[in-house]
Amino acid sequence: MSNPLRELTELEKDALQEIMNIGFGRAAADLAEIINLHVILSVPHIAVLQSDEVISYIHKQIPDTTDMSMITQFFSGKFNGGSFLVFPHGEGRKLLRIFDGEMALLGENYDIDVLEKETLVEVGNIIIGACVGKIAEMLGDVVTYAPPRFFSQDQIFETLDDVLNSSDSFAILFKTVFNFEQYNVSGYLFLVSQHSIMPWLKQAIAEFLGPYE
Amino acid sequence: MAKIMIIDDSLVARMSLKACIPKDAGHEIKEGNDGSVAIELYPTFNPDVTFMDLTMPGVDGMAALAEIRRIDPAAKVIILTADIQTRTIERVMELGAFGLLKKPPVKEAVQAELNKALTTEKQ
Repeated sequence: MSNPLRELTELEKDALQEIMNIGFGRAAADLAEIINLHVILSVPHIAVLQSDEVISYIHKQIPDTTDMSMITQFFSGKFNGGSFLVFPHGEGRKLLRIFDGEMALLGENYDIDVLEKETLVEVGNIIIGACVGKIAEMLGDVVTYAPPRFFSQDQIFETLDDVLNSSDSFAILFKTVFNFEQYNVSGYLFLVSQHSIMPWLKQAIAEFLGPYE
Repeated sequence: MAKIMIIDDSLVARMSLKACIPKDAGHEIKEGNDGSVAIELYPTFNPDVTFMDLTMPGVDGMAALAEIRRIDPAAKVIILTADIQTRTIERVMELGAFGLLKKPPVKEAVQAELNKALTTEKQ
């Protein structure tokens, strides 16, 4: 039998999608301002899944997992969880073109792998910080962040396994796909929060909706 | 009294916008959840003002705005969006949007933009 506290109603999901849409809009505007990167936004998706379903869900969303890179950043507050920004099949490396001018100045004196890692960590930090920060703010919370970390192909699903298997049995998953227009790069942002935040989340959504009902 | 069309895939976004529009003004409001609904509804409803989101599944707000302006070059479409990137704003204005408001909607800003649209002659 379904437990109403385990599930989000359609209205609550809609509210969270709208909040995430606004959060991602803020992240995109920050990126455009800081590194002149225009992002095409997509409609976000919310799901409540069993923890062990999250990885297969991510696999389904990203069928081609070769040459994948991922930035993770954990956040804590009443709204707490992990952010996973995934660039499939070498897409992340295309973002290095943001720094074409600077790379020319470096000549041969740089390591492309280090530069890719640094670029993605920086882009990831801006996206995750702005997106999670705005969602938390709209839900009446303030979060703190652990430093962002970069993972390459071999480490990604191992890392996800560790995180998801140590959390409670259900997870709330937020997903959005984004496209960095001028570089033709697509990526996925997943926010996974532990199911234990559900009572607070429902209350926060009710307060958000209050003035409109 | 004016005719207002609201297009957004999110019910919550439509609710929050309607809460910003004065109820005692007696405006007639029709709403839809997709750009294709906007295109279909526009010629028959003939709204004085349209509020429309950009990021929607199916026909997005950018495409719907272009089509509505093709149907009626004097259409007054106010974009209500979370996407406040400069390039997006430039594109929307190039397509002939009357104005752009950022989400979440703020009552004073919505009412000011609505009043401006309703008191501006159709060009």
